Amino acid sequence: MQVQQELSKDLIRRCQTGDRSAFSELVGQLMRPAYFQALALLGNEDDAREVSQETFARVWRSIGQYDAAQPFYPWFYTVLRNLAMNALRSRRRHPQVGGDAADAWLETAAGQADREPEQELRRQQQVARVNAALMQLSVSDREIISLKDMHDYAYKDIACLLGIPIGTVMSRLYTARSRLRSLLEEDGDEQP
Amino acid sequence: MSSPESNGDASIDKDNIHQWLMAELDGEVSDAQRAEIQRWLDSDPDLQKEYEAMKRTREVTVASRFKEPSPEVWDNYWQGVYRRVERGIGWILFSLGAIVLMFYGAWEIGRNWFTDSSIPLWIRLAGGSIVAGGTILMVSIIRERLFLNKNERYKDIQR
Repeated sequence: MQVQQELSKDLIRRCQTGDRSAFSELVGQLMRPAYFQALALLGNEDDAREVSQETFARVWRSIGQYDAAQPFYPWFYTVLRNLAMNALRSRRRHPQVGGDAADAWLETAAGQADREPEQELRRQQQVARVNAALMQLSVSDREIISLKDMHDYAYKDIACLLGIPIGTVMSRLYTARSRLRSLLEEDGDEQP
Repeated sequence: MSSPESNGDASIDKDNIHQWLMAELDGEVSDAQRAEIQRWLDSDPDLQKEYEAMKRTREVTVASRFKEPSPEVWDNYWQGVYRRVERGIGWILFSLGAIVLMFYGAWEIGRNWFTDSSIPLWIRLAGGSIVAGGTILMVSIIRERLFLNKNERYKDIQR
């Protein structure tokens, strides 16, 4: 999913006229990026599903306010991000019994099935440490790392999504990766 | 600063070299910028060390991917969205009706209260005063909550 890549303008226009089948199609196209982006922000599968679904419901109710001259996805992402931030605030105000609500939301990348079992186990442990370290970062640090390294967005797309200059994307990535590196080193994971 | 296609001539200096290391790692530099960054790395062993450490950190994150949820999540996704849309409409209609009825009820109660000559005037005025005071307090609290929510600088800080 490229940020700048236009979803069909016709699809959006049909959604704006209240066409439910068009909206269903829009959900089908965006549910995966929406879910995974919410997952990176929230670190919890149930919250990610709820927030991403609520995002679509909000978008449906307010799609009339969307300016068709602008790319659609950054507008969508802003709604998603605001809802995720609200969910995080609410989670802090009402912590769950049992403490941490975060899941293990990362796994080793596919396509490396030919690794030795021992190597694979080490890799899984490493991903578990990265998962834990990412959850210790601030949400904005976690967000920028996931947008770049897991979603593989280009800098210009991240800048567009977050509404910041590309130079700020670079400096925020540096800060976030430095913090992640410190956390991983504290955890004794110096060598990937 | 920008990606090569939009900002190939951006200067790399002492203040922004760390940011450019990120761009180099992520393949967002032109050949000329890569060569310039390499010169910085060759001339500064500490920077080279930091670059290698960042590279290792990035390798770990890039090699991770999001855990795929169970297939039921995708199968039932649309139903979840539809339920929310439906409930949203339900809540809007319910709230609209409730607000209209509440105002109508309040208006009728207030009208009867103030026009009922069997209740002494001072009691009617006291009742009116309670309602007016309660309304002012409620509006003030709501406004304060809304203002705090908008302007609280530390609301995102985890205690």
